[in-house]
Amino acid sequence: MKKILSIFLLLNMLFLSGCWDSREINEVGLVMAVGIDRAEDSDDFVVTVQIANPKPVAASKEKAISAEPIWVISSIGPTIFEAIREMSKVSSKRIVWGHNNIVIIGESLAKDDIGPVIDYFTHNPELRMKAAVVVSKGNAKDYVGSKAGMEDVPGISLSNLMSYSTLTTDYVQSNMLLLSQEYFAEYKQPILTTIQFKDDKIMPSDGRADKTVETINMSGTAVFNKGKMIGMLTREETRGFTWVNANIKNTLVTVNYGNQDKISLEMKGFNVKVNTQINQGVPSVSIAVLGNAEIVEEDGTSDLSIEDFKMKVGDLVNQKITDEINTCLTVVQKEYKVDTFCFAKYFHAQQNEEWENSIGKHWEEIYPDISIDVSCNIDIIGSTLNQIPANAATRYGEQ
Amino acid sequence: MKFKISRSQLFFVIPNLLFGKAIGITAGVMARKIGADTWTSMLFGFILGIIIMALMTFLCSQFPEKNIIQYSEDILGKWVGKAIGLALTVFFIIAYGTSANVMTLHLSEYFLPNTPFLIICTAYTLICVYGAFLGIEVIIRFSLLGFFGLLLINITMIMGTIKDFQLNNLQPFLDTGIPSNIINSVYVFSDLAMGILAVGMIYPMLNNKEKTGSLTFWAMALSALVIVIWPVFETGVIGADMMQKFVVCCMQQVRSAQLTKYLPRYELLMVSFFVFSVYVQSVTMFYFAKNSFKQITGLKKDWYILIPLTILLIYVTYYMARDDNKFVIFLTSPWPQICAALSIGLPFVLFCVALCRGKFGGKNGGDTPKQELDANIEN
Repeated sequence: MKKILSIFLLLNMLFLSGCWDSREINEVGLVMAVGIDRAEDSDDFVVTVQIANPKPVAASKEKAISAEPIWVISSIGPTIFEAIREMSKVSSKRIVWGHNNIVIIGESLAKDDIGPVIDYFTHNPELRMKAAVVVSKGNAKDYVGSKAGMEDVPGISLSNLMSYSTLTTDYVQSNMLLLSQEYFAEYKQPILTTIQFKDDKIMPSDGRADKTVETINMSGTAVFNKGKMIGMLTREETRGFTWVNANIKNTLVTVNYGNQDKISLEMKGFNVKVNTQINQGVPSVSIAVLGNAEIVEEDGTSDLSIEDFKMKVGDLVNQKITDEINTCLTVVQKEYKVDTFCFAKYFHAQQNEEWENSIGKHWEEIYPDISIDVSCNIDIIGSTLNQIPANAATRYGEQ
Repeated sequence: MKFKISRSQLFFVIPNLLFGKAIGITAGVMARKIGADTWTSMLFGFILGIIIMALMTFLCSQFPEKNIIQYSEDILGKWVGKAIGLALTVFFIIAYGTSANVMTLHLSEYFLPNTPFLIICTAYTLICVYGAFLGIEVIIRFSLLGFFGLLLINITMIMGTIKDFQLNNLQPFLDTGIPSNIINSVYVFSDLAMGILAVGMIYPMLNNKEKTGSLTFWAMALSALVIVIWPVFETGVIGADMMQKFVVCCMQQVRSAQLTKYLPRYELLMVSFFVFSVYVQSVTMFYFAKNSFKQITGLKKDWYILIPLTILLIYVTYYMARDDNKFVIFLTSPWPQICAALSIGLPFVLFCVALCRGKFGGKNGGDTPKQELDANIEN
């Protein structure tokens, strides 16, 4: 019996060694970022990948100058998979997707259909569902090979930028999990952050004159309807969306106080309530944004008491957020006619009977005319350390 | 009696017998039928399952030294009892295939896509042969490890996905209506049947048979809790529409999980926790397939059954899921319906006939001599 067991265990060592799927670390090329475009003259896909080149990153500074930390290759094929397989003809290493940080979808492909991208990357078990997904202004190929942020590998920089989305309202968190969920869902329509090149001035450390460099900037969003990009929201319009839908931890809002003075507030503790109503067959929505804010910078002076001042600033903040939400709603509801805010889901959940019997069947016709009431109530809970503005004495002296 | 298991061992083996396939494949099958109501429908299935388990435990308590095949012969006669034994053998063989394929599909679709599927099926079945060879006592002891494994996988899954949980994905509550929820709960019976019928086989091995009804009730309630949390989180995180797209939807959930930025993916870690409970489920099915066949044929040597059974189970496992789409179709129909008919119908028929024939109340639940009973149980 022991002999049989020994043979059995030895056989299992053979079976379980994973020979068929073995990949040696020195034989794999780790993809850090991927860009996918539609070819200009055909329906083919252009896939561009940024592969980490570990030697220069790990080597000394002198050696690092001679080689780039990334290697960028591009290929074309009738499907994304075939385009990737084409890369094996030029890449000496097997391409592995497990460490990919970001998927950049080119503007032309986004306008055409993002379905193939979602299909390929949800089918591929190697890819993380938390990999960021963005839409580029122009071709994605140009961004994959560009320098971004402070990291040696641009793909990591871009992914890190996305992880700060909870600190800003200028763009939304968009990853493969959210995108595929929204794409497959009955009521939701995807919304993705957009990236574009921006000229930034930097001051070199060697004392030479300032120079302008092109950096990748994350700002604004792409709006989709049934898998096709139908437009882009500006930074200001995007803020209107993120106030209601994004899971914001804390963010900044600046309001004008008086003629020229500006006050910045750090917003915290958000709570958004979306309620739907149907009065005599007419559906309507009310959005209530609640939260707290602290004054973190105040250039202005005021002769009001601190409580009156906070109330006045609170009114300004409420007005600004309400205006931003209304601006965004006007664009997506009236211009694009797409339910980016996913009000259909709220109606289905809150007005189930009416949804099943009437509204749900004609949602696309009803939606653009639905009345949406926005209210905002931000409580100013303090002014972060200062009781009186730092420049108050100077200004009072002037007066 | 040769093998004895304690009450706590029976308590811990029940969640293991239900967990593996229910979270991975049954949830996806149900999502295709009932969308976001998967978790409520599963809950209805568990409520019904608890009632059937109570009936099974009551039946077993009336024949405390016999397993379900033995008291079926007492209640329905020798040949009908043999036929039930044969039906249970076939059930345990196919149930083994469904359970084993939970693991083989995890491996082939996510970790070892280039390894031939037959090799994965063979390797897994050979490991299960080893478990079945060691015997039920070892398997049931192993279930404690399996239970802690399933607790760990639940905790890590919740920690890794709670950030992406969207409550509105679960709304409206009972969207498709209560009747639809109850009808579609039939799919959970492909898992519940493994637990209910295995208890019918395990019961005589229990060393203390007092208040077993309460024991199995709490084991089922705990199982419902650790299993239903999965469709709740799967619907909340990846959404019912996405659950429908995948064969193994729990792995899609795991792909979407992230435990801090330093542990961006932990599929392998979670499968490592998961494997113990699936292994208990598979080996238990294997063991009872062997035991049922042994009882109806009267064969004495285990190896005479183990070797052909191993070959058969490798083939069944491979054939069942060589095409994952066909496997899902099989798990949608007719397998859950067969499981429901067997796990609900068999205890119910046995109860009714035993009641009519006045078979309840005997110390050993029948006329079989004590020595013969012990010999049967040892076999």
